Amino acid sequence: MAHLSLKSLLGARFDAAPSVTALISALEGPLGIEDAAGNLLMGAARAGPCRVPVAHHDGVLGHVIGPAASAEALGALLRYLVAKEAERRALAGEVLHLYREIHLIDQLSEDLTALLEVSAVSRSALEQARRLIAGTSGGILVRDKAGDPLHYAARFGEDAALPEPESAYADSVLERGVAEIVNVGAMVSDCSSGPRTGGESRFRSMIFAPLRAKQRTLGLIVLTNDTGDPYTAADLKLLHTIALQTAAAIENSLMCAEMVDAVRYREQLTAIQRELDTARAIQHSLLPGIFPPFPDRTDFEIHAQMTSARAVGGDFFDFFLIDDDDLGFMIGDVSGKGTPAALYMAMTHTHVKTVALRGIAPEECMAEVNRILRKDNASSMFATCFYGILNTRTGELRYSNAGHNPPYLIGSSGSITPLDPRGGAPLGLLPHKEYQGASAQLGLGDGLFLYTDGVPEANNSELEDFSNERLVEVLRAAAALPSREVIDTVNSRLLGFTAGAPQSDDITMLAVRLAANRPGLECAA
Amino acid sequence: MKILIVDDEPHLRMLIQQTLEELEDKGVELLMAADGEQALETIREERPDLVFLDVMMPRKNGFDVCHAVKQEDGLRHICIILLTAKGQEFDRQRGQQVGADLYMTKPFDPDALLEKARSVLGI
Repeated sequence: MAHLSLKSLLGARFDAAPSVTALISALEGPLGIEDAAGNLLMGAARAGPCRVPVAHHDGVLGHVIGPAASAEALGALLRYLVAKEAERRALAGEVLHLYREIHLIDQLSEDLTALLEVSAVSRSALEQARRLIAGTSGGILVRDKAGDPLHYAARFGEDAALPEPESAYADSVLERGVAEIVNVGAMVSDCSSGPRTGGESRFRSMIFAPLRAKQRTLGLIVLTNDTGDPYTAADLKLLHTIALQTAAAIENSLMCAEMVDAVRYREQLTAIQRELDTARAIQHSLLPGIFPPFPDRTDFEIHAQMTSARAVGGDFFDFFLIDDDDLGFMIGDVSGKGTPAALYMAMTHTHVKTVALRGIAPEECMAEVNRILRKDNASSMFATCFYGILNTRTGELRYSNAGHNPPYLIGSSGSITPLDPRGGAPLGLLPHKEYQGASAQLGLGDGLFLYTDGVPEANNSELEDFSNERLVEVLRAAAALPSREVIDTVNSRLLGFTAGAPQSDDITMLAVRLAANRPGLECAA
Repeated sequence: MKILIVDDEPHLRMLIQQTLEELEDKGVELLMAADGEQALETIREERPDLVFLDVMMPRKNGFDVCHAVKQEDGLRHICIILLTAKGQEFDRQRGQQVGADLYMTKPFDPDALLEKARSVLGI
C-alpha cells in the first residue's frame, strides 16, 4: 500500500485542499506546511517560532510552521485528515481483499467447469486456494469411489508437512464433514535436530475443509502453514467456499471418468464378442454341418449335434468315410473351457482326423495323436476322445477310447449297453502312452450313441444331474428311432429336465445306425 | 505520470484506485471521473498516460469517449483500456472501431489490472 503523505493528502485527488487553504488564510499567520523532508507544500515558508509535527502512528509526515496557536489548530486539522485517510485506506484495502477473493472464486468456478480430470481440477483449485490463503504446503485428498482409500490428487510444498491419507485428521474431517483448524503445538520445522529445548519453537497451523457434493464427502482440501501464523475463521470460511466449488467439479470429473470407462468397457466387450463370434464360426466350420452327410448311402445313417455353453466350446466330433466301407467317427472333450479349450480342441480334432484318414487302427491313431500333442503341449491341457471305425458292410466296430465316456450300443431290440472302455489315458495327458484297441459287432438296425459329459452332467435348478440312468432310459425308449430323432429326443428330455437352468458345459451327441435291412448285408442279423 | 479512472459507480472507482494506489509511490497520480463528459474534460486538461474507461455510463458512454480521444490530435496516444461487465454482451468490433487499446472484464483481477498499468507505464 502506498505511504500516506501530506503531499497526496493536499493533492488534487482529495477535497481537503480548499478547506486547508481557507483555514491558512483565516488563521493568524504566516503559516506553512512542510513535508517530512522539509519541502514547503502549502502556505508561506518562513522559519516560525513553532513547528508542530503532523504524526501518524510512529511516523512524522511533516510539520506546520507558524505562530503556536495557529500552527496547533492547523496541525490538529491535518492530523484529523490523516487519520481519516488512514481509516479510509484500511477499509478500502479490506474491500479490495474481499473483491480479490470474489474474483478468484469466480475465476475458480469458471476454470473448473472447463476441466474434466480430477487431478487437473485439484491442481487448479489448490492453485487458487494458495492465492487466497497463505500456506507453506497443501493438498487435495480424494477417493475415486465410495470406500476407496484417499489419495493426493494434487499437492504442493513439503510432503512431510501434509497429513497422511490415512491420518486421524483426514478421518475426522471426512467423518464429521465440517471444516476445521488444527494448530499443532509441537515442533515442526526440523525433525532431524531432535526435540527442541524451547524458546523459538514454531507451531504448524493446519486448515481442513471437506469436499462435499450431493451429501457425500469425496475427500478434503488441506493447507498448512509453518510460519507460525495460525489460520483464522475467515480463512476457514474461504477454504470452505473453495472446497464447495472444487467438490462439484471433482464430482463431475468422476462421473465423466466413469462414463468414459463404461463406454470403453462396452467397446472392448463388443470387440471381444465380435472376435468370439468369428471364432465360433471358424470352430463350427471345422465340424460337419450338413445333415444328412451321406445322402446316397442307405446302409447307414449318422447324425450329430453340438451345443456350446459358451461362445466357443471345447467339445468336438467328426465323421468321414475312410473308404467305401469304413466309416470313421469321433467325439472328444477338452479339459477346461473357453478360448484356450477351443484352440486345443481345434488342434486335437485336426490331428485325430489327419491321422485317422491314413486308415490306421484306432489304437494306433490315438497313440500317434498323443505323441504329437505331448511333443508340443505348452498348455498342460488334454482331451478325452473316442475314435471308432465302423465297417458298414460287416457291422464290425473297431475303436479305442482315450478316457472318454463309453458310448452306448443301441440294439435293435431296445438293449442299451455301454462299450467296453478300452483304450487309454486322455490325449495329451501322459507321455509315450500305448493305447489299446477293442471291437464290437453291430447287427442290422443296431446303432451307437456317443456323447460328452455335458449330457449326463446337465444340471437342473436344484443342481441335480441328468445322469446316465436317465440317459439310458431315454435311449431305450428311442431305440427304434432314426439317429436324428434319437438325438432330438435326448435333447428335448434334457431341456425338459434342466428347465431353463443355465448350461454349464458343452453338450455334444453323435448317433450312428446301420440300416435295419439291406440286401447283401454280410453282418449278423 | 497520470492514470485516469472512469466509472459511474463510486465503489468501483474506489476499488480500482485502491488497486493502483501503490503506483503513487512511483510518482503516479491517480485521477477520477464519474461519467463520460467528465472523463473527456479531465483527459483534455490532464493528458493522462492511461485511462481505465467503463463502457456502460450515463451521459456519454465509454465507446464515445474513446472514439473522441482517438480522433483528437495530441490525445490519441493515450492508452485506453475499456472495462466491461462480465456476462454483458461486449462488442469487440465496436471496441476496435473506436480504437481502444485493450479491454478487461469486471469483476476484474486486481493483480492483472495492476500489472497492465505497470506495463503500459513502463514501471
